[in-house]
Amino acid sequence: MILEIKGLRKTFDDGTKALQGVDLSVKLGEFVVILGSSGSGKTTLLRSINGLVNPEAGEIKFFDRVISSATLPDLRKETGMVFQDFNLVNNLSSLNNVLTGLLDSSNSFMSMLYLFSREQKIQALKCLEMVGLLDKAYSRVDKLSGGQKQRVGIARAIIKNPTLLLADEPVASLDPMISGSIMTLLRNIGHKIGLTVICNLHQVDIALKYSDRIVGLSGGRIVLDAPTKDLDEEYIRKIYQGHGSGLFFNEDDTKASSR
Amino acid sequence: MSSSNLKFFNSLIMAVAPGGDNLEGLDFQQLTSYLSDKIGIPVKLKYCKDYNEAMTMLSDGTAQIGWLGAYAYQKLESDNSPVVAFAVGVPKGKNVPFYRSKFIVRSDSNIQILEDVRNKTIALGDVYSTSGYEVPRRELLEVGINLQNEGSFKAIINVANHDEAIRSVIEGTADVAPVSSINLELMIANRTINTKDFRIIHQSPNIPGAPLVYLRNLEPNLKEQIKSLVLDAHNHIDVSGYGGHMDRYVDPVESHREYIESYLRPQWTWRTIIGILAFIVIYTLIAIDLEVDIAQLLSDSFLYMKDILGRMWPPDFSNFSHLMLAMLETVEIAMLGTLLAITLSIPIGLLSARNIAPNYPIYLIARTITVFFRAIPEFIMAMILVIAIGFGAMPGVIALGFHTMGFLAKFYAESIEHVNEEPMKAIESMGASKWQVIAFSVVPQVIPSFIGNNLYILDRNIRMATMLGIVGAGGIGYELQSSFRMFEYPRVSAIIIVIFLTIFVIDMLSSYIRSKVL
Repeated sequence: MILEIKGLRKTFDDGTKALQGVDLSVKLGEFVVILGSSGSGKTTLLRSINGLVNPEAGEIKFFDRVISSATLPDLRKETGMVFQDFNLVNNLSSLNNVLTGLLDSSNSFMSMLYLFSREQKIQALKCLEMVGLLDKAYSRVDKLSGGQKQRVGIARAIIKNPTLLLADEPVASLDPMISGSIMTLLRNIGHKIGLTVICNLHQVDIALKYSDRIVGLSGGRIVLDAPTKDLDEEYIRKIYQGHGSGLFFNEDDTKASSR
Repeated sequence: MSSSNLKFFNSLIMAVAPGGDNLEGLDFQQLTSYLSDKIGIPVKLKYCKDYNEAMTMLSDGTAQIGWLGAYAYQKLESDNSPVVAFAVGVPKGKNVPFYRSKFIVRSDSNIQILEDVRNKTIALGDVYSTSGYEVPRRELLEVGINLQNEGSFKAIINVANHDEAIRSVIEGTADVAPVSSINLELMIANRTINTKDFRIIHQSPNIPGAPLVYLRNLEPNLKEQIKSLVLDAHNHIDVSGYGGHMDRYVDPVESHREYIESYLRPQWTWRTIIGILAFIVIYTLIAIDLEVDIAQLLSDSFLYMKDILGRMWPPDFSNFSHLMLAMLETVEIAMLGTLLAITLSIPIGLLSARNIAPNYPIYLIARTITVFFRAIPEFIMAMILVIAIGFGAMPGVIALGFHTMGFLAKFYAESIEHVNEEPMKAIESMGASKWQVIAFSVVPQVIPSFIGNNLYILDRNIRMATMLGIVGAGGIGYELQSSFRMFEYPRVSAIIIVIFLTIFVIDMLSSYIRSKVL
């Protein structure tokens, strides 16, 4: 098990109960989708894993080591994160954005002058090639399209060769067709370099199409945890009946809700 | 040749998947006979009907060498693949084993960018073609066009190969076609087509050429032998492969490394370096021209400085209340001057912002006004005004007001030019008038910098107002001037202390306001 989460709880200062006892184990190399509407606690869960949120109860084990403030730096070296709004530095080139993924292992003086070693640059170029953006290595990222920006985001997340990739709604800001190409990329990279991917989504159709396993979250509790091949839309719809608002079952739902 | 290589085989079979589009170019005959010759056992070619047949022959060991077409790389990416790529062809006239998919249109076409191909007639290769289908599919997806959806286009013309696709565009049966750069360049080279007849509207990233593969579990010596023979073959025979004649075969790993390295650029471009050097040179020249001599500054000036500072000590605060009144007058001049500057700057600032100015002449006039008043120092302006309207506070107020109007209008214009235009468009689209758009989208966005700039100008005006008295425009500057003239240095130091304390208090105050408002 790469990740073992037991009894995770988190209540925010305003009284929101984001997580109410979550247990989850993730196997090495799995592509897990955490499915839930906004407010289901999936972002809190993902952020607890890399220490951006401090849970009040429960423990998270990463390769049998309990995550604490002491072990967090090691964990962060092993994880990459992809964000909904890309979180790139807009007026830097794609290459420099990807290189920011290596800052923790760079000479701090040289990196302040934007100087990176030849090996680091080659590594960054390889990552850009992997996401199909080698030709855009020296373009400023604000000149790229949304899908291309997310590709740079993925390249930045994988450059330090993480074992775990956390993706928080990676396609929520993209249109359905580009979403598909980004999800395919995430899955292919996952398989290619043996990466474990935990991906938050609120679109059921995308989850069914790209994941190995779906963990459904609702009101801070796990309501579903099964291999994707055993699931279909009807079943998920049934599970979420009663508390399933905000989930998009397919593209038509997306259109209907935006009307 | 060593017999150990032949332990398991009395012949080798090379399985060749269909090239998809350029079969005549897929000539491995010379290469296999060269290999037969050198290895000493027959190397036979087996042309397969599709990719799967070739892959099956390799998987079950019937074939030992293969050419799997462009799909090979995708299949080879997983480590448990039964085959490994060992050589990839560099097309004649190239130095990298890559090609691209290029979208071509007729020269007179109105298609300019990839997005424009929606609802046009497109010529497409079959779905197994990498540069005629698979790569174009991904490129089109990037701009939101789904190749698999027939509704995206006016019509889809299915073509058998790239040459047919190119012809269909030039002859006008199709509006656009994604084609392989190899075929395109070949047709240009043998003058089948003219570069004047078509345009390239988009090209894909580099696509790796299809590699030659052998079985992973083949005997290591044999693998090494095959590989070195193929990589050296161009020195002895004409090598061919996908896309016709090859210049040579290269090691895929090696060539990929070189390819990646070709994208390396220095982190600091020569422009940046020249910029830094120019900066250093210019400032060195300036220092030389002005005869800046730090050593002398430190030694000589130090003595004089010590002398004058000694005479200024202790400060003489005997007419303290008089000083404070003069200081108050200075602050008042500055405040009134700043208000004048703000009032004047708002219209002029708006008119000198490129995105708000109604037309270019007005923009130019407004800009000229701001530059003009920035260019005349307030001292000069105050001197003239003192002559025109007499001694007192008013020349100071007007001089400060007009001079700093030049600054403020420029600051306002710059922050207005940098506002996010999207909310402006949104409000405009709701039917708001020009001034309503400014009030509801520009003003809220520039308020923070507006306040910040005004506080800065107020701060600056107080400092400048202390000096304006020197030319007779009121305030504490007059006291300073007369004390200097009378050689009353202790008074001078007292005035400096008062000025310092006032500006210090104002500075604290403006930081406080800034922290509350911004």
